Formats: sequence, C-alpha cells, structure tokens
Amino acid sequence: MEMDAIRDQLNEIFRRVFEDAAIEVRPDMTAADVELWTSLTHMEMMHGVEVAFGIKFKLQEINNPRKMRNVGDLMDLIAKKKAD
Amino acid sequence: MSQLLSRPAVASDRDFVATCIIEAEASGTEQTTYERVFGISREEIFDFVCQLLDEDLEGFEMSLPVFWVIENGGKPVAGCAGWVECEYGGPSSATLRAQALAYVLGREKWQASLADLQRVAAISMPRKADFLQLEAFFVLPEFRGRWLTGRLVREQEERFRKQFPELKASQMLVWGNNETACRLYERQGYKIVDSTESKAGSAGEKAPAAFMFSMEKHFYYPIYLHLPTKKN
Repeated sequence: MEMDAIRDQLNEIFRRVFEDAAIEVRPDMTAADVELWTSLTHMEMMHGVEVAFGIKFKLQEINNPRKMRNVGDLMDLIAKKKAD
Repeated sequence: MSQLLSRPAVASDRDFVATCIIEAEASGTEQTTYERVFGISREEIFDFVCQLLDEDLEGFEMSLPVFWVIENGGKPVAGCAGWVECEYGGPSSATLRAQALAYVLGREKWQASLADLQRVAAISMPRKADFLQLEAFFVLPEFRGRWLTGRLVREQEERFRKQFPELKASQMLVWGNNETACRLYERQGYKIVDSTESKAGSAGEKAPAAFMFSMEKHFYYPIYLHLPTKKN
C-alpha cells in the first residue's frame, strides 16, 4: 500500500476522531500537535485505523515509545502490516 | 537480620511489582481505580497487570525494567517505578497505559467504561514531558517505618540523573487522600505545585480521591555536586 493512500485514509480518521476538518497528517506529527488527541481519543483513533485498514495491531508493536514516536512511525507500521 | 539491598527488578519480582502497581492505584483505599471503573475484581486486575509485565514492554510504566526494588534476604520488600516522560518524544505514559489496558481488558469493556474513564481523566494531573516520573511506591507492612520510601526516591533520582545528566526535575502524582505520601515526598524535597479541582460525587467515586496533587522537585545542580567527597 502506498504512503499517499495511507495518509489520505489517516486524514479521514484524524479529522473525524479529533473533530478538526483541517487536520493534515504529517510524519512528524505527535499528540502535542493536535488539541483533542488525548489518551482516550488515541484509543478511538487506533481502533479507527485497525477497522479502516483491516489490520490488527499487537501490543508490542504499538506500546513501544522508542518505535512508535509519531504519525510517521504509525504510517510505516500500517504499510508493513498491509504488506505482510 | 539480612541486609537491605537495592537493585533493578528482575523477572522473579513480577508478582511483587504487580502488587506495587495495584496498591499504588488503590492509594490506601479499598479498591483501585481499575476495579471501580471496569467493574472487575482485584484478582482479575492482578492477572491483567502480570500479563502486561510478562509482555516486557520497553519504556512502559508497567514493565519490570522501570522498577527499582529493595530486597531483604533475596525477596523484594519495597519498590517503585521510575521513567522519563516522553523520553523518545512519543506518546505520553497515560496513552501507553490506556492502550495497554484496552488490550488486556478487551475493547468492549474499555468502550463500556469510557464515560467513567473520562470522569477520572478530568481529575487526573498531566505528567510533564522530560521530567523524571516516580510512581507506584509500595513497602511491605512489616518493613514500614524504616525510611525505605525515602531511600527509593533518593536512589531512583540518583540512578536517573546519572543516566540523564540534563534531567531538570522530577514529578510525582498523588491522589488527594494520600496526605501521608505527600509528607514523605516533602521530606525528600518535593513540593505541591498544582492540583485538580475537586469533583466529588462524579469522578470522585470512581477514583481513590476526588482530586489529585502534582508534586515536583527541581534539580538545580549537576549530580556530581551531590556526591559525598572523600575525607583524608
């Protein structure tokens, strides 16, 4: 799956979950950049990603602060799981 | 009597570390926040926490490597967690904890508890990025009164300040009912800098207290200035 397609789908999910139609995801984006991105809305966002991309994350993949630092790391993980 | 020795937690400490996490969550009350919010038993919470500890999640507050313990005769008698918040610039520890709990509890239970989780979140203090976070202090009842909490605080601070020389401050979040803990931390140089507004009756019944304190200690000097000098 191409990164442009992943970004487009992420934009839809982010805009819906974080209630901001102007959000444009970018690789270096973190929770600090999005007003409504809290621990609870994060769960909604991750669930939205799993449903939209038809994938299931393992805890080891998403709960590693060294490897899952920003949206770019999330995009890479989605691409990897879609390729598997 | 055996000597009290300090060391990082290891795999055989898992059940003790789970007890530290759960007792800290209860904050001296009958139930933990998890029992109140998710409607599950203390035994189930213990199993879930052990499951998370077994996952060996790097840099996560519910992982063995972040725990420091004091042992007596090879058995842990006191312990606490320590980590640098957002050390890698990634998600907050609150996000990691939410993600981990949702994983072990299942999405349905998580979703069903969302309203209560939001209420508890409203009375919780945020953790400050790049601050040392000390959490989940627990001392076995028979070892209380020996200043082990203070020793844990000092040893964790020293350990992290050696590892992160640029570390500027440490933060602890304390439920509003835990005045004993506040006094203990004040003796170690911590000051209450902020608290959440009390919302008793809504969130208060789902948490150990209706509000929370944020306590901080700032490190003004490099760690080496605190080391004892050798006298001739």
